[in-house]
Amino acid sequence: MATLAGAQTTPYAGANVWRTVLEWLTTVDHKKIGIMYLWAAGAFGLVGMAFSLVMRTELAQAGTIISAETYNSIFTMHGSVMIFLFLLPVGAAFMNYSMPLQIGALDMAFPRINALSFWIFLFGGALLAMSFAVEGGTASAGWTAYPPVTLDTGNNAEPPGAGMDMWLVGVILLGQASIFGSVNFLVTIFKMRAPGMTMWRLPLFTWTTLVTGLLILLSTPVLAAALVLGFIDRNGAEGAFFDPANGGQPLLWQNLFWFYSHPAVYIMILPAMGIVSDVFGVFTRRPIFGYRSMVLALVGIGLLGFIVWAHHMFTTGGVFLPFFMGATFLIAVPTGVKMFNWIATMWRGSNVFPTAMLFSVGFLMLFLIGGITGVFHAAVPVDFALHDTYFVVGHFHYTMSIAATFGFLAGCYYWFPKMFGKFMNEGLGKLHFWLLFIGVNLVFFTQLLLGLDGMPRRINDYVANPGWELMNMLITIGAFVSAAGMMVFLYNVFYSLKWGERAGSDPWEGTTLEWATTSPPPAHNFDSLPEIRSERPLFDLRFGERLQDDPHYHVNNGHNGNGHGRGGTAQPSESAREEG
Amino acid sequence: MRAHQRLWRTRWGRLTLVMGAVALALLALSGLAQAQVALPEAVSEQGDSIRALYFLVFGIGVAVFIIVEAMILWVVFRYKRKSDDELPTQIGHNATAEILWTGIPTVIVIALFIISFFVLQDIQAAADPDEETVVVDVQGRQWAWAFNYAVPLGTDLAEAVSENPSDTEIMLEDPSLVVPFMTLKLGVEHMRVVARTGDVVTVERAVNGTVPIRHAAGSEVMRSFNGTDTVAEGRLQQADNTPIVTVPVGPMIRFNIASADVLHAFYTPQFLTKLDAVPGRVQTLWVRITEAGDFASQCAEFCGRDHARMIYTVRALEPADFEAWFADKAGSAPEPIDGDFGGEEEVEQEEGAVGNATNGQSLFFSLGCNVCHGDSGEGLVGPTIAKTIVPLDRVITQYREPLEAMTAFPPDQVSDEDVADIYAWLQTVPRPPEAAVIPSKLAELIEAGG
Repeated sequence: MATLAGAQTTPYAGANVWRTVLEWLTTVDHKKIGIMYLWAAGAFGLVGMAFSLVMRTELAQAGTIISAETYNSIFTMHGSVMIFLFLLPVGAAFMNYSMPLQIGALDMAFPRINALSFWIFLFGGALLAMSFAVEGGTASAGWTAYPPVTLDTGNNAEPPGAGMDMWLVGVILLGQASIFGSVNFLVTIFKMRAPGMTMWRLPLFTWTTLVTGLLILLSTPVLAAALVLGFIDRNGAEGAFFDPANGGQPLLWQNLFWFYSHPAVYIMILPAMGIVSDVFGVFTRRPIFGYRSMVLALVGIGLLGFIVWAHHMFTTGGVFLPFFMGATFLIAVPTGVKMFNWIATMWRGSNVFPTAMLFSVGFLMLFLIGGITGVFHAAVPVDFALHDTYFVVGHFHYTMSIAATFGFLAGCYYWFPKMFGKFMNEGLGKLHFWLLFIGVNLVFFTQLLLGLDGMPRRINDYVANPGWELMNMLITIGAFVSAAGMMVFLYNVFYSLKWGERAGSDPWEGTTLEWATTSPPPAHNFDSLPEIRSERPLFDLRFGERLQDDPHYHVNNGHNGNGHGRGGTAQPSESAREEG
Repeated sequence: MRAHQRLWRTRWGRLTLVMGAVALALLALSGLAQAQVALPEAVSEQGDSIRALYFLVFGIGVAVFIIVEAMILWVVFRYKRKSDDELPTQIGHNATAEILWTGIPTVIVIALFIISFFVLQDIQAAADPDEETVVVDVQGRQWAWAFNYAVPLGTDLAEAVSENPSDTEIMLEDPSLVVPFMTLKLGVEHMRVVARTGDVVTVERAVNGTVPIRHAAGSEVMRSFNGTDTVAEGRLQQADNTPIVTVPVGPMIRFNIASADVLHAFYTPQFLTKLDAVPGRVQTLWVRITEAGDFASQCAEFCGRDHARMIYTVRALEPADFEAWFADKAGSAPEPIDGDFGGEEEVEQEEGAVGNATNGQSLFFSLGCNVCHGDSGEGLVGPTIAKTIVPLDRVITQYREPLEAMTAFPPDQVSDEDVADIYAWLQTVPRPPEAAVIPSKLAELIEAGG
């Protein structure tokens, strides 16, 4: 944190190190909490990546290097860390940092709860980390933790130790942190917007924060219920909930778990979608194409996200297949709308491609593959063939893991100047992008092929046929190339904090309100706010005069839809301003 | 200037980076050329339907991928900022375009839904009631598979049996046909005969991972037998014996999939389908095989430590070969035993043996030892342990800290006395002929003086 504080120019410069540390430990400032989330999640992300390298080293060739127990523990912790300690909190980091700035608020609605949320998250993470030290090691039944293999009832041959309990309690805590965070985001968006910032003028990243907040609030309690039942089952109830040997029902866990964990996929990907939407808006100098359809698609994805959970359970024989197949197919529609809107935003744009933009375009390409492979899984008969093979591993990494990560990396390059007052190095950024882009495609596309060939997931050793050995070796090489890319990124972060080029308050010609204050912003965020007449107040300020005769340019009117949603209906900015 | 900037600015630096990228791309291509972008050739009727649907989805997916990827690349390379004060069009909507890119995907996914729905109906369809089928009772267990088959016992249930698992006394029309430890099959439930007193047969309900269900009076009673074969050369380094499930080409095969402990999944890649083995449920998978051969398969649902080693082989035989195999495996009905058995009666025991062999036999089945070692210790996936030469104390060590793939059994699960009981029973069973013995590393060590 000392390095961080050093990067902050005001108002703590010159304070001694301990006072700075204390300042950060006790802060309720959403920006500092956001940055702490970012550092913590980033560190956990590197740990999760290290786990993946261990797995890839083991799988590079047939035969074993580490024991099956170790492998199972590592793949479980890879998933748990990446989802609960990297992807979810890194989204929370950006939502914390940027959303209040984007709506012109002074801080979050409940700053202390915000701090509490961060510290609970850190404690939950610490609990998972500590489970490496207990007898029997960490949880080792996958991040999905399907009972009865998680239980210590009579029929399970190798019952897990206390690490499983620590996992359950740790994830309950992480869920609690999420719930606190989501309430804060929702109240902040509903009640703390600056004058003129109507709902239809919210930047898309703020819209994704809102939908994400709703998803977290409605789904996380269901996960908490499952985790509590799981904990009781392991500590006294002897499997009464989930082990049929004692009257339980294992599919109950799967239903509860996926009722959270499918929306959780959107909780991870939506903030990334919000980031790339904002980035496209800035670096094309165009309005986000179909702003309202983007919002509706977002809400549509959120709603559909609640009725597709059982598509993770097609092969259990315990779900009504046609309903969940139909609902899952439908998700392709709003997702497609978003994809086309992003492309249309770049169409005829005045596009520039700094690293943030490269990662956003990379996001589109990766997410496209993820989306298409999702349709394979939606078709139930095809899913029967592909479920629990490497195809599904490739599919979900393309979407919620690596596409989301590309979105978040775009966010890092985009908001770094705002957070620390300095640019990230562009040369290193491009090297980072290319290494990562090549590496992850080598990993995950090859995994799709490996899955087609029938290699199941979650195995520490495999039959030594030449095809599988070659593909696994390629995946391992890709994993190390990706890791090299992330090392470049890490170097870039520290390099840029120390030697980065100074950035002014609005280095990218931003469109949203966070660029209307200094970099980094003062504790109270804004000294003054510009007039807010559209979802792009700073764009209006910069180019409004020049564009006032452009028939397509109009300032978004918050009171009726007349000026919006119809191609060709001219709405000159002046009349909109009069109405406002 | 920093090192990385120098690297990118010099010609050689750029060349190195570009060459590196090209090398990686070539490596990737060489890999992809060897892989196929399709599911494996199906060896079942249902698999053929799934593969056809796959190609439909694949075709649509590739078309969408090419179109959208081309659009992305087009806008990226075509539209670049030419001057610093350039302002592009501010068009933010186009109703026609938006309706098109909402409507067309909707039509595509609805069409895909309808087609998938009918394919699903097709592949899940059961055999015609009057069609001859082959039933295989699949039992997943940590970490082995057992494949049971059944033949009619020749008698029916005389009185109804409830679904309550503690309802263990059943009445058969001809109780003389049962012998100790015979496995009966009623519906999908397996029961193990423990004792017979007069006309009352005492059974252990819902064995082999099946579930207790209600049976009406007059239900047909079958005799279930373990038809698991093994192949000696393991496909994984640590797995010495792979279980084989033998099935015929031609008729519909009904796999009844059950689990004795945790979740597993029955997955044969060339069937292009899988079904989870869920404890507490017996689930049905219908397959009609179209090609003879051995098909590598493995558990596809994470099931604990040795999940990766839960491999098996599906062996599809021509109908005549299958019938011969089946008749050989089923054998003839066991010799009837007069009078009562079980209860207080002791299994005949050799002199000097410690432990209660009757209790040992019971434990042998309830702990699932038979899944790997065969119903009389003759050896399947695990080595032959009938009349083992390994001394008792070394066997106890094997339970606690197993050599090779065996599951560990801690003392709170199986006490030293229990092991002694099982050991005593194993000394009473016949040893198979030397040619059929599955070698045991432990026995080899003992013989070598270890």
